[in-house]
Amino acid sequence: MLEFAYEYSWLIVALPVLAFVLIAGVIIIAGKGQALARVTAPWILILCLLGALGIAGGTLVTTLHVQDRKGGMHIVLPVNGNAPAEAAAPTLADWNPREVDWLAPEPAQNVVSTDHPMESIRSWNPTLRMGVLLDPLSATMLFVVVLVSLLVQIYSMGYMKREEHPRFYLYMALFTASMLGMVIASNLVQMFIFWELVGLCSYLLIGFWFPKPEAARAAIKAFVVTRFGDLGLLIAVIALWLGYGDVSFANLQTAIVQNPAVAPLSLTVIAILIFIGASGKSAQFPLHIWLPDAMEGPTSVSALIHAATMVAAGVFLVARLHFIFEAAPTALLVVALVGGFTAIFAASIGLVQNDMKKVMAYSTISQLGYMMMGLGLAAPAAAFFHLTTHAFFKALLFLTAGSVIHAVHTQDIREMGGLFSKMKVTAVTCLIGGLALAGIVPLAGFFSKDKLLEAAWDVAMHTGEHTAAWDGISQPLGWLILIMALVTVLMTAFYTTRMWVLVFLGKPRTHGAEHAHESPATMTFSLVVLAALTCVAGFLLVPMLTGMEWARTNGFGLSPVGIVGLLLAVGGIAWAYRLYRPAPAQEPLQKLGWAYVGMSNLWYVNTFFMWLAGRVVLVLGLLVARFDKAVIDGGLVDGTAWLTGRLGHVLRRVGAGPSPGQLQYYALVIFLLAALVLVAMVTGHTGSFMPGVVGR
Amino acid sequence: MTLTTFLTAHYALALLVLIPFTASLLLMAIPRNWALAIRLIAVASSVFTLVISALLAWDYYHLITSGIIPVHGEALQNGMAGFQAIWQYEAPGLAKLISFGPVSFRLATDGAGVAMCLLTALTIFSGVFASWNLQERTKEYYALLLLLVAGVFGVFVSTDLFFFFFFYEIAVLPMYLLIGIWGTGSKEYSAMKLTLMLLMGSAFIVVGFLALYAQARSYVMDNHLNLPVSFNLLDLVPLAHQAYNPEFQKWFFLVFYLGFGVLAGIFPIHTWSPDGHASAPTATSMLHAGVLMKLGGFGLLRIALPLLPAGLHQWHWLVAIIAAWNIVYGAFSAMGQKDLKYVIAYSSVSHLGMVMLGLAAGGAVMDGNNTAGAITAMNGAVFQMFAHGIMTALFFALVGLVYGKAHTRDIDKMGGLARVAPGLAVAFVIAGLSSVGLPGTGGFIAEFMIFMGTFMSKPWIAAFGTLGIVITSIYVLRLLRRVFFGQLNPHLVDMPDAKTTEWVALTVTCVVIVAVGVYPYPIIQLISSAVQPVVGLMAH
Repeated sequence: MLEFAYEYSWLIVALPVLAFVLIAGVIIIAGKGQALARVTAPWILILCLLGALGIAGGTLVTTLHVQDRKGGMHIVLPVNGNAPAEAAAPTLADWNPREVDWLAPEPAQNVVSTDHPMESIRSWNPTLRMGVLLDPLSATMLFVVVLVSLLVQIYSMGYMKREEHPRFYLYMALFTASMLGMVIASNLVQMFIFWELVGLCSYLLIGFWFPKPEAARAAIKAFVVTRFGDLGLLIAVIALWLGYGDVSFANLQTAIVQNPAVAPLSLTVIAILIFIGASGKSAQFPLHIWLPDAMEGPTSVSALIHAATMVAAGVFLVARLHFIFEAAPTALLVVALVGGFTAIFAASIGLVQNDMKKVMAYSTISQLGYMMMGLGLAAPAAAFFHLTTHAFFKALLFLTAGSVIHAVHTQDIREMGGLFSKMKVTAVTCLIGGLALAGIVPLAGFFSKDKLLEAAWDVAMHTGEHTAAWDGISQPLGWLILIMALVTVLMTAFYTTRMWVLVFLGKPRTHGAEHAHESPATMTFSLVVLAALTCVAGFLLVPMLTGMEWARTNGFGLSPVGIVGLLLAVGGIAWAYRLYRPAPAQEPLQKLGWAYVGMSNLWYVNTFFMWLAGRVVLVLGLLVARFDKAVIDGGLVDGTAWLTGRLGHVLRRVGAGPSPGQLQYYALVIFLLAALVLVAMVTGHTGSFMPGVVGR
Repeated sequence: MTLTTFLTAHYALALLVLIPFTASLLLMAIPRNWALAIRLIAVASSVFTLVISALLAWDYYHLITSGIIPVHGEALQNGMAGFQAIWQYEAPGLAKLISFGPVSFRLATDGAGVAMCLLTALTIFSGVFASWNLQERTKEYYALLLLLVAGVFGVFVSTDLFFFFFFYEIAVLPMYLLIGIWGTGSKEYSAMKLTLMLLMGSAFIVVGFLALYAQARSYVMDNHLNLPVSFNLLDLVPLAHQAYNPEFQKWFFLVFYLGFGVLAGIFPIHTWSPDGHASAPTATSMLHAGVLMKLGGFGLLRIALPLLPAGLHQWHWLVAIIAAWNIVYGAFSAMGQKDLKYVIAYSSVSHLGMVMLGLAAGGAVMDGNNTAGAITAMNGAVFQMFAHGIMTALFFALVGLVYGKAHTRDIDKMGGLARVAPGLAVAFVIAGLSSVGLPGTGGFIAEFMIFMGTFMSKPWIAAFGTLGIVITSIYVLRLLRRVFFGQLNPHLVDMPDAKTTEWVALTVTCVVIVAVGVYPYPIIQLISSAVQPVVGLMAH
C-alpha cells in the first residue's frame, strides 16, 4: 500500500486536476440553472481530495521511512565543510527524483561551441522535464496542503452560497492542483510553471465577487505585484539554467556545491533574484502590499490561499533552494534582514487594524517574515516547521473569522463583542488558534517559534554549529535581528489578544452581534479538526522535524531565549487584556502619537505604491499613447505622406501629366525611387549589371 | 497509400491556394441574395483548408518523428542539409504554363510554413464564424477575405521569389477594400494609410528580390559557373555564401528588414497597425493581426536569414534593441488607450516585438557559439507567431462580438459584462492570460523560449524586454476589470452572450491556445525542423 502511494505519488496532483475537469464538465452539462453543478461540485472535489490525502499520507510515511534508513533527517546540505557530526546528509539526488520528458527541443549534442567565457553553455540541455521529487520537505508540504485544502472545502460548503458553488469549487480545484504541482516539482521550470498558475488562481479567487469594484481591483493588485516578483524569479531560473546547464533541483545542487562560480550572474545576485520572487508570493516588504487587499476574496479563500498555503510558497521556494543561499552568505543576510523587518513592520500595523481579516492579514505577513528570517539565519528546517504549524493555526484563525463574519455580517471588530456565549465552538477554537499564534506552550506555534528564536539567538551570540554559513553577518546585525524577532513576539501576542477580546468578550456592541448564531456543522467541523491539529501538531512534528534540523535542536527542551519569548508573549497577552477588557470607548494605542498615525496609515508604503501605479505608470502609458499618436504617427508618418503629396503636386505641375488618384501616384513615385536605388546599388557592386530579365 | 500521404504528397499545397481562390471566384459568380449559400461556401472552403492543413501538419510531424526529415545533428553540421526538409512539389503542367525565364512556379514548404498554414486555416475558420452576422455586401466581403487567404497560403508555400511576392501582394491589397468598405470610424484614412505603408514595404522587398537575383546571376556569369540561377530560393541558397559578399548582405538585409518590418510592426513604422486594425471589420482584423503581420517575420526567416546571414549579424544589435523597445513601447501605448480595439492593436505591436527579438537572437549565432540559444530564441519567435496569431484572432473576434452587442468600444462605457455575457468573459480571460504569458497558454511557451534564448547572447536587452511582461499584465488585467468586472453598466443589462456560430469561433481558438500551452512539443518539432537549418546556415 505504501509502495503504491510512493510509486503513484503524481496522483496527488492528478486527482485535483481530475476534479477540475469533472467540475468544468458538470458546469457545461448542467447548463443554465446549474442545479446539478451546485450539488455535485463540492463533493467531486472533496472526494478527489480524500483520495489525494490518502496517497499523500502514504507518501509521507514512506519518505520518512526512507529517511530513517538513511540515518538522519536533513533537507539541506550543509556547505563550507561544516557538516554536522553525523554527516549522513542525503543530497536531493538521494531522494530519487523521477522525471519524464515534457518538451525536448533537441540538440544538446550538437551545440557548436568555442572558447566562450560561459564554458558551461556548451553542455546546456534545453530539455524540459516534468517530474516528482519527494523528500521530507515536499512530502510534508504535500500532506499539509491536501489536508488544509480538504478542511477548507468542507467548511466552504456551509460558508459559500449554493449558487456560487460551481465556479468556486472549479477555481479551488485548479488552485489545489497547481499548489501541489508546485510542491512536488522536481525542477525549477516546472516549479515556475505551477508557481504562475497558483498566482492565476489567487487572482481568480480574490476577484471571485467581481461585481465588487474593490475585489476586482485587489485581484489585479495581487497579480501584478506578485508578477513583479516573478520577473526576478524568471531571470534567476534562466540564469541558473544557462549557467549550470540543468534545472533539476538535484543536479543543480550537485553542480553548485561543486562549482559555485559558473553562472552568468553571480550566485549572490541569483539568490537575491530568487528572493525577490519569493517576496512577491510571500508578501515580504515592500511587496507585501497586495496581501491585505486580497482579503476581498471569500474568507475560505483567504484561509487556504492567503494564509496557509500559497503565501508560504515563497518560503517553500527558498527552503527548496537553500543550497544556493548557503553558497551566497550576503543573500542570506538580505533574507534575514528583510524577513525580520517584515515581521516587526507588519506586526506593528496589525496592532491598530479594526477589520478582523486585516488583522489576520498583517499577522500572516508578519509570520511569513518570521519564516523568511529563519531561512536567512540558515535554519530552513525551523522555518519550514513554522510554516506547517502556521498553516494549521492561521487557517483555523481565518476560518473562525469567517464563522464570525458569517454570523455578524460585518468585519469590523468594533461592531462585535460578546460573542463568546453565542458562538462557543468558534470562540474556543479561535482562542486556541490565537494562543498558538502568540506562541503559548504547548500549542503548535510555541515549538516552531522557539526554534526560530533559538536560531536568532545562535546567530546573535555566534554560538551553535553552523555559523560558518554566514560569516558575513556581524554580531550587531545578529542582535538587531534577535531584537526584532522578540519585539514581534510581544506585538503578536498583543494584537491577537486585542482582537479576541474585542470580538468575543464584553457586551454586544451592535444589533448584528446581539443576534449572532453559531455556524452550521460543516463549518464547525473543520474548526474543531484544525483546532485539534493545532494542539497536537507541535508534538507530532517536533520529533519528525527535529532531525531535519541539526542535532542541536533538542526536541521539546526549552532554551533560554525560548523562555524569554514565552514571557514576552504572556506579557503581551496580559497587557492587551488589561487595556481592552473594559471595552474602552477610545483606542488606547492613540496615546502612541506619531507611531499610531504611522501604523494606522500602514506606514505610507501602500500610499507610495498606489501613487507610483496611478500617477506614474498609468500616466506614462497615457503619455506614450499620446506621443505615438502625435509625434510618431502625426509627425513622422503623416508628415512623410504630406511631403510625398507635395512632391506629387510639384511633379504634376512640372510634367503636366494626367491627374492621377493619390494612391496610384504614391505607388508610382515609390516604385520609381525603388528602381533608382536598385540600379545604383547593384551597378555599384558588380559593374556588370544588365537591366531587364534575362533567361538562362 | 493512406489518405494523408496521398494528400500531402501530391496536391495539398496547391489545394491550399486553390480552394480559397476558387471559393472566392464562386462567390463572385452567385447572386447576392443567396445569403446562406454565401456563408456555406465560405465555411466549406475554410473547413477544407483546415482539414488539409491539419493533415499536412500531422504528416509532416510524422516525417520528423520517423527520422525522414532531419531535425538532429546533420542539419546543423551541414547548412544545406536543412533544405532537404523543404518539401518540394512541382506541378509539371501548370508549372510550365506560368513559368518564364528565371521564374518558375514551385510550391514547397517546411515545418515553419506548415505551422503557419495551420494558423491561417484556423484563423479563417474562426473568422468566418465570428462574422456570421455581417449583413452588408456579404458576397463581396467573403470573396475578398478568401482571396486574401489564398494569397497568404501562397506566401507560405512558395519558394520562388516572384510568386512569393505575387502572393504577398494578393494578401496585402484586398485589405484596402475590406477596411474602406466594411470598416468603422475613419476607415478611408486608415485604409489609405495601411495600404500606402505596406506598399512602401513592398517596394523595398521588390528591390531586394531583384538585387538577390541580379547579384547571384552576375556572380555565376562572372565566374563562368555551370549553376542554375533563378528566382527560386532553392537555387539561390547554395550560391548565397559566395555570391553575396558581406557588404551586399549588410545593406540588403537592411532593405528586407525595412520591407518586411513594416508588416511586422517595427517601431516607428508600426502606426498603420493600430489605425488599420481598429477600423477593420472583425474577420479582417483577425486575419490581419493574426496572420498577415506574421508574414513580416516569416519573410525574414524564409528569405533574408538563409540568404543574408551576415546581414543579420551586422544589424542584430539594432534589430534586438528596436524589438525590445517595441515590446515595452507597445505595452505602454496599449495601457494608454481608451478604445478596446486600439488596446489589442497595440498589444500586437508589443508581442510582435518578441518575434523580432527572437529572430535577432539568431543573429548572435555567428559569434561562433550560442547555437542552442539561437535555436531556442528562433523557435520561440516562430512559436510566438503561431501563439500570438491564435490569441489575437480570438481577441479581435471578442472585440468584434462585444462591439456588435454593446454598440460601443469605449472602455469607460463598459463594465461588469461578465454578468450578462459570462461566455465572452471566459474567452477574454483565456486570451488575456495568453497575452500575459501565463503557463498553460501558448504565450508562456513562446515568451519563455524567446527570453531564454536571448538571455544567452544579449542579457541586458532581454532583461529590458521582460519589463514588457509586467506592463502587459497591468494593461490586460485593467482591461478585463474595466470591461468585464466591477459594476454592470446599466445600459448593457440586456446585452446578449455569444451565440451558436460565434461559439464555434471562440471554442476553437480557446482550445488551441490552451492545447499548445499544455503540450507544445509537436508544434515545436515542426518549427524546429525549419529553424535549425537556418541557424545552421547562419553558423557557417
